[in-house]
Amino acid sequence: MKKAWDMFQGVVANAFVSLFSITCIFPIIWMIYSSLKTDKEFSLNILSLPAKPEFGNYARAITEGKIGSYFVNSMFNTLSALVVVLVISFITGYCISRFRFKGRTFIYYMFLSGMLIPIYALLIPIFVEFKTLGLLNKKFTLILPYIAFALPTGVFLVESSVESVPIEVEEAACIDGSSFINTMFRIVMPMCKPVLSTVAILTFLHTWNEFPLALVLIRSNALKTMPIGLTNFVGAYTVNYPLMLAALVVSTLPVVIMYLLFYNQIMKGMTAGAVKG
Amino acid sequence: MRNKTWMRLASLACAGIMGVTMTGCGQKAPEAAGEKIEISMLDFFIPGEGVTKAMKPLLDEYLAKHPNVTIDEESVSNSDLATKVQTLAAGEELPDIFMIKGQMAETFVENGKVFSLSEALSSDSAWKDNFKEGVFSNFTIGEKIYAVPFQVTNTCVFYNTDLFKQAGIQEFPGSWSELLDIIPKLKEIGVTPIVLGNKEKWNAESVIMSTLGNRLTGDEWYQSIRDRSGAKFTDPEFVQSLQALSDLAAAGAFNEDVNSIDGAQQRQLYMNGKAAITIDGSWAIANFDENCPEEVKNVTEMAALPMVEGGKGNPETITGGAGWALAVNSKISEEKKAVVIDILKAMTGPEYGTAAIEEGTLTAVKPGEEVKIEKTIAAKFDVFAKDRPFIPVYDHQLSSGVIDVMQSGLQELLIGRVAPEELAQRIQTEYENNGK
Amino acid sequence: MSKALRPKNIVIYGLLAPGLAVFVLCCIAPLFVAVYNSFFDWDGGPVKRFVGFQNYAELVQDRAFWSAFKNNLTFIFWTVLGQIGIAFLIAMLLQSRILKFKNFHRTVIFFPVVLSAVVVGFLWRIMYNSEYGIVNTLMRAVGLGNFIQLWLDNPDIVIGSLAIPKVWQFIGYYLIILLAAIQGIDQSVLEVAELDGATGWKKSRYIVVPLIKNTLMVTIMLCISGNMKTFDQIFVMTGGGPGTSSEVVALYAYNVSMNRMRYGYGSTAAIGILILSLGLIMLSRLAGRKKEEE
Repeated sequence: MKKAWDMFQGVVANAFVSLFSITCIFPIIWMIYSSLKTDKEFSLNILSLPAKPEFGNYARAITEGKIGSYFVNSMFNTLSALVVVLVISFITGYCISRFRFKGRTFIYYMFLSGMLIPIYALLIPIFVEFKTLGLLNKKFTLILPYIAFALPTGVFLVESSVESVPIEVEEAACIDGSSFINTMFRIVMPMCKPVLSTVAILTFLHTWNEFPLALVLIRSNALKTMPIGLTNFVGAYTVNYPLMLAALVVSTLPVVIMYLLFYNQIMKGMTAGAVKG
Repeated sequence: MRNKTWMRLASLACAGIMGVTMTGCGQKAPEAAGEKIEISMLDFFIPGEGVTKAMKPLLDEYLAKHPNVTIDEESVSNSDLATKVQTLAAGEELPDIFMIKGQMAETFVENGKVFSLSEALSSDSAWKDNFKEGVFSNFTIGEKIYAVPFQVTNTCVFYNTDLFKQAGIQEFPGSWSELLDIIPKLKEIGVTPIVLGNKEKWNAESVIMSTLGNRLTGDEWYQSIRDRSGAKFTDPEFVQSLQALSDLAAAGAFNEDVNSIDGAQQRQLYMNGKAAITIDGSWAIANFDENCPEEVKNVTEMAALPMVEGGKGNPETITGGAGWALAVNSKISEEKKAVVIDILKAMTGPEYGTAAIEEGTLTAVKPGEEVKIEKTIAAKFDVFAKDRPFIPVYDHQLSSGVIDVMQSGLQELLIGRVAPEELAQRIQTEYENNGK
Repeated sequence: MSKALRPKNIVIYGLLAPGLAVFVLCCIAPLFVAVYNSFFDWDGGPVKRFVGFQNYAELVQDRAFWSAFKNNLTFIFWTVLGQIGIAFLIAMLLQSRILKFKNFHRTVIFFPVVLSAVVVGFLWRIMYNSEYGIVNTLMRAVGLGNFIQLWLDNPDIVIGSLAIPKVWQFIGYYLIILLAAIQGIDQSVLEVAELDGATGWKKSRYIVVPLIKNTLMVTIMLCISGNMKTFDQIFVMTGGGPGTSSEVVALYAYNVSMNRMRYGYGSTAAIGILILSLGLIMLSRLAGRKKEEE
């Protein structure tokens, strides 16, 4: 009887997750094949497969929509911010988790407040501040707020996971003569790979898609980012969906790739457990 | 000796004449001086839009003619332009030329952000008179004009004469009660009587309410609302207009999902022959001509929203107005002023009118030469709208708070969730509290 | 922690300084400005009229704000349950023996997270469409035709309808966070537990949950924060309609600032959102601590 129950559980679980996974992959597949349609074809039937795949939309997106330049700018901003966020999140999360020092709680709540305020409320203040400091419309303008806004999530995730790193490891390293900095970066950091991979993926995701600050802090066409470039495909009253989807596919690709690169780090230990089964 | 004196007199005279010429035509651009002038501009001429295709060549032409002028242009999509302009305004970083919406005009003028263009316009009657009638009204605050429009939008009724015939309707209803009468007939032949996509909230207010309101209230009431000289949204005429719409909705005239489908889906349903009537804006015309199947295109006609019995408005009017227009930064420097005016003239001259019609967008400027309109719907509309008086669109002129309450409320009115009197009261409360 | 291990204070502050500097510059300073603005009546012009706590008084009585907040609470309820609940479920299943095609699942489940709100909104609006939407088609097919609703048109259920795409899209987000945390659990602990007879649900509840408690708290915090700020999806799908039935606080604050040009009051609303979010997170912590004591 237990076996039947187990089997039943297995079937239900598999069916449920499989169904869910299919709904997860469908939109991306839909985006890809819809981007290969013509506008007319699309407006007649939104879900059908294209009669004949047209790559014209991609060509148009690159030449007319100039998404090449937007892509590069977004990459520059996102990767720069990402590296800095990873380092700072780790250090900050580690310190907050391990040590008690004056101002620790204050700093914690500061990060929390920064995370809870809706961005639109900060648009004008940030704009005025950057204008006063002469930071508007520069190559690195957006990197600063992007780092800032990604920090809270990063810090909290690292902080919560450093707890589970056994302190004995650090103590052993200390006894072995390793300096504090050395221990932190050479010993503890590699142990935090899973959470840091998560922070990497999520930071990339949020930063790559950021819109309001990019709209307001940048004015030169040469510096505009991908999300802004995408709005060029949304007409005042009408939208050429296949064309827009082509641009969206190009825009979504890096995030997917980023995820695929890092998710193994998150899943690594799983194989160890699965061997038993 | 004498020669020298004559020479001196002559050169003095020359200098005098040159001096007079230069100061007399005070507004002449200092191109003669060969100075480099850079004008910054913020607009929505992103690539691919019809309006961009019409405007870009004119700007390029101007720049070619004036090599000492460069335009540092930033183009942002229409939906984000408001956020950008308002942020720049609050942060005092507005460019020399930028676009504003009718709704922003009053606030921007009050805050001293824009420069009055009345003088420039009145000093060049050829320029001013080439604008169609009434297009300045959204941007005229306190008798002065603060922005020049280039685009207008109209709204009207589009209906399928074929489906009408099938339902046994001979002609488009001339009155509101006749309109209510034909609803069941259209339902009988299995089509949606009137298809409306109001997901974006502004649609109903823009394409129906602005006109319907005027049918009942007439111009005087509206002007009084705008001037704050005593009219109220709770006045019976306006409440009646809400009632008329409510009655239409209650009769089942609209599609059930009126608040969850958008304009594009609305058009689609009409173009597929599933709806007999669509109330839409001139922005849809290019779309109709491009995507509508021939059978429907050829039997589509236009009409003005029917008159409601007892109303004070003119039944012939349709809405017409400029949503966005070009304004000048109030902090513009003296040297740049003349150049900026010149650029505006280049952008809103008869050449734009011609180019716009060719691109299939409606223009606020009369075209320089007769343009033959080839496309079916565009041609029909041109005939329909010719010489028709325009009334303003509410969201081009009334304060955003009032419009917000009205638009949200209309969504509820259409599904019978709010009574006309209550909605009128809500709008009135916002109007009174707002102070603008 | 042993004294020897702890570096001098100055080292700690030195390490934290750069991060804090950037954060204060780009986030906290503007936040203070927003707080400052919240005490004024300002429409972007040269005149900023000081109104003291008037804006806050108005906010407390603002029915539209509180009705929007109620919508946020509904979201939070469903998403904590749905996103984190389902994510946890799937995380455990991925650890177990029952599930097949694990690689496929864990690759694909994250995909919805990368989709833009425009795509998600568009697709789900189509799915909910009364005529050709998949939802209604399926319901008719299985005979539930009578229960068909106007998913996005009925003000009473629109928030529920919107919760579904929200939950769906971000399950993958929380999944990877939970998986990373589960990674950190010493495998030997799990093996011992299994030998002791704790498998499946028992293992999840009594072994795994307590061990990833910290991450769960952070996850709930992220979820509350994300849902209080939720904007894009709703904006694309209903714009807050019909009427204001699906408006959420972030959308409301945006409307007040950007549409009505009341930047002072908009800042007040944003600070209100901040305070309410903090409150909710405190509550969740208290609840979490209570559970621990049980």
